[in-house]
Amino acid sequence: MRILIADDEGLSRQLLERTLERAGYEVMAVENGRLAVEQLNRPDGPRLALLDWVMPELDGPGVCRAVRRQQEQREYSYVYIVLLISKESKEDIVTGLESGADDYLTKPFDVDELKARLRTGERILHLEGRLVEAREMMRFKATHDALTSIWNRGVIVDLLGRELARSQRESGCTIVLLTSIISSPSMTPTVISSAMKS
Amino acid sequence: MDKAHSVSQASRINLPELLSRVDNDRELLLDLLTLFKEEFPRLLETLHDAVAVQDMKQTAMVSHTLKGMLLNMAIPRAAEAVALLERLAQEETKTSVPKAFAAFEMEVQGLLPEMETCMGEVSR
Repeated sequence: MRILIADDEGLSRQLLERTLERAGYEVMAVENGRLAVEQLNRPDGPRLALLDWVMPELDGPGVCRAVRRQQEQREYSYVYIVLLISKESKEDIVTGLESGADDYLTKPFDVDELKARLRTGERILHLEGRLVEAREMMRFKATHDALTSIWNRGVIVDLLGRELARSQRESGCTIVLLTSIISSPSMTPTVISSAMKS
Repeated sequence: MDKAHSVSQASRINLPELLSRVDNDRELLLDLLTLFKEEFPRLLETLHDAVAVQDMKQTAMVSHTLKGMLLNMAIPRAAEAVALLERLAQEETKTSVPKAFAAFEMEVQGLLPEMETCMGEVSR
């Protein structure tokens, strides 16, 4: 599994990098919060992150907030974030968790504790993946005909309503082509397209 | 015997703890010790300059970095000394900062040679 480490301190970064590589992770390491946000906000970015609290440009809680904001706007997969804090101060823990972190770890970290907490993260990401899969399956079933796998009546009526509203708004017109396609090899997308144009 | 000398006599690096922190990976530990030897003098100088010009923000930031490094390298007393410096700088207690810095400097006197010895033990 891929994991992002963000820590401005080289020694700590190297220690984390090597420890996690040995634990079987594919590690990506960056040295400030801005670079962490860039990586985590990519659609194909790592879904597991270990962030230091104090970093230049953007601190750990700042990264959490930026990542959560992006997730609300786009439907990206969940990013499980562990914050590294220097001391177990209640205020820091509350602030960190409220910024969107899922867990925290006190520095200097214990290797076994680090691995255990990341395994928890992996389990949650795995569950989230299964939930998304189930949701997508339900969404498909709710919008497609079970026999033909094409859009069902509800979706077609909904789309038609939206198209009609749009053409009214833009003072255009909407053409509805009602046809019956029964295993016709001649009904290629090109044929349909030219029929619509005409 | 002066205080600085007595401090340098005591072992400040907790080698067993350090080894457990790297899962007994001696090669990694040697890399970290080398990195520490390179980074530490540079950061100490930056901290010295920040304290000299009473730049509390920079003092707090460099102290924080040093604290992390020292804790990672299992050097608790020096980490405590620099943590105090960080706190004083955050609170902008300008009058107490030079004294805390002097205490920290004394604590880390002779640390690099001790690290050399430690490297020798690790590479054995």
